[in-house]
Amino acid sequence: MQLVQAGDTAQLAVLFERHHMALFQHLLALTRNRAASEDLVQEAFFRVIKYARTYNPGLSFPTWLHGIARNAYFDSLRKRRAETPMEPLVAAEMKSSTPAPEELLSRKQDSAFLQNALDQLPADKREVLVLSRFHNLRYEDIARILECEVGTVKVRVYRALKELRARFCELRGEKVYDA
Amino acid sequence: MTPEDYRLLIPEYLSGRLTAVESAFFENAMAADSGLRAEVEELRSLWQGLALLAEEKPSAAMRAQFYRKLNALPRGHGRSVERHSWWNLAWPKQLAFGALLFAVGLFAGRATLDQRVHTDEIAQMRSQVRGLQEMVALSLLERQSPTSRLEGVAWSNKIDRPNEELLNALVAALNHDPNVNVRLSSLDALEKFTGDGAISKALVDSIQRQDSPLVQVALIDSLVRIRDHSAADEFKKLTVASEVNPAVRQRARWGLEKLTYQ
Repeated sequence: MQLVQAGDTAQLAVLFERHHMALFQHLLALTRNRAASEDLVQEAFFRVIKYARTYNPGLSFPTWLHGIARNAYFDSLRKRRAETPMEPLVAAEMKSSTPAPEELLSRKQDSAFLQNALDQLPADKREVLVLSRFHNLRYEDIARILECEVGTVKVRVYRALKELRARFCELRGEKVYDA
Repeated sequence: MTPEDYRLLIPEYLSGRLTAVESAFFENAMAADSGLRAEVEELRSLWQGLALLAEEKPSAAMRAQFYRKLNALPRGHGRSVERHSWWNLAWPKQLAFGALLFAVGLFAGRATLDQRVHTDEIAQMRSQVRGLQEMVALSLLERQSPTSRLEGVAWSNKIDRPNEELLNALVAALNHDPNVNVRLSSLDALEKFTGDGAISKALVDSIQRQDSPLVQVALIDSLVRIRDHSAADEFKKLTVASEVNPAVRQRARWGLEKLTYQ
């Protein structure tokens, strides 16, 4: 990043290779639109060049980058109308050493239900789950990205998980009994 | 702490982020509160299930588009960049495009003469197009400029079933290319073909060949994604190698856990 700040924009490629996957998944959690997310990933990286001088080396680069990407997303919302929802994912492939057919079908169904439940969550809850669960970001970093307090992140992650569970159980046709 | 405070700690407990002292307090609280215990178990299976969902990946076109835009940045933005126009294209691409246009023209001519286009002729055309794409990719992978080699990898992404020569060239790029970006892009391209045992073995073997922590971490992530359990031994070696970058050692520990327990 220091090289990019010094004007060596070709080094942006290194940052792209390192971070584009996580950024895409974060943006997809917000937009649920693959094409829009791919556009926003690229927009975010080119904003890195534009705002390179504002980057503080003391701050984690991924945190800064994800914050830029979020701003790009909100800017794009102002420009376009409704999001085009994406199709739910096909159930994840799950490998097991000796899966019985019924067990395999059941696992696949559960994965599909879980993915659907995740897709159904409001964008802010889905976003915070993706950042904490899939990207293993510390709550302090998530708080900087979301521009809120760490305590708020804790509450959001917990409530997102609870709502995910409620939707998942609903899709499976189960009742949810809160502990 | 109130029961509600403990509940808010559940995600951190499940992700192993609590310190040893915090974990001990939390486990004491669970021992005393059956409701908390039950809730942790319910959310644990969900938390683990999330890790097993298919990872969303962007299309190969996104990378190609990004590099085209990066290359199109005007001079004075930093390092000079290659500009592309038809007349400046390297001769392999000119040859490939010319041959493709010729093939399309031939096809169109044949189709108007004989409305019944035979399936084997179409298959032959497809094979020729694939052969041309492979030739372009191979040629670009041998070029001096890293940008051209990156384009070579991007070309290989267009091919559903590359031949052995192209796959070997991608493996060679992963292991020996002096440019880290080319190695990372090659890994991305090869990951699609890890159903082929030879390719997944090449990825496992590549870990020890790499000097770039970036590429080592990317290899670990890739092998975890494809759930190649044969990589576990290599991950174990990385976790105890003192000369290995600490971030890589940590990622290897994570990868080992993923392969062992999931």
